[in-house]
Amino acid sequence: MDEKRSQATSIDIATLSNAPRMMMAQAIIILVVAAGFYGYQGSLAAQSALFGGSIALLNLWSNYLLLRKAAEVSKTAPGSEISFFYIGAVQRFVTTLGLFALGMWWLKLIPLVLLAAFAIAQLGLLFKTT
Amino acid sequence: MEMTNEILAAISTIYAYTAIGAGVILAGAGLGSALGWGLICAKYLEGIARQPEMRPQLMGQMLFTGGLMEAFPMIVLGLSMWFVTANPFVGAFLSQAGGGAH
Repeated sequence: MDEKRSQATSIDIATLSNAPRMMMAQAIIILVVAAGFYGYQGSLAAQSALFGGSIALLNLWSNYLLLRKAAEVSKTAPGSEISFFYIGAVQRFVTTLGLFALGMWWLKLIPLVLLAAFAIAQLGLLFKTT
Repeated sequence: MEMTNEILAAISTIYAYTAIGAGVILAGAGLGSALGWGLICAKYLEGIARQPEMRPQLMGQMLFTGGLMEAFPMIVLGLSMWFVTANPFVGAFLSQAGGGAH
């Protein structure tokens, strides 16, 4: 009964196995976008694109780690994984905005390019199979 | 370029309208994000109700889709931060005004 319950509440590992593929796709997209900006606007734009895309990549990676941890926890304590999702959402939100601020004002990167690369990098999330 | 009262008034107006615009787009992002999460979670619960054995797969899919959806309010927040703290319209206005003065 306990085993059946833990199976019913855990997170599917096959779904998580998509994450490395999505991260790889994101990394390729970021590099292509950065190369495009380098050709179009120069090295500062390319740096901005790399920084913006890296924020998206970091988000996906942290999401993946969190889901893996939640999947582990849900096997022993079903239902307790929800707290991980709330913590993860807050963590990603704060980290993303903090990194935006860091890139725009401290590193003096180009805001529009940074945001555009962040947005385009989200396309990597479409690369999943299940 | 000399900062006349007219130019200062124009810059103040730009800042005021930018603040209003940022408020509107933040409200839109908040509303859209709330609707998005609501729809994702509603469909997730519907899916579980129809096929309870699919819950683990649906949970993972829901969270990744949520991650994608969550990116859009963050982009809007980033844009708002940029508009409010380093207003690009003021720079454009000043370069136009400076160009016009010569």
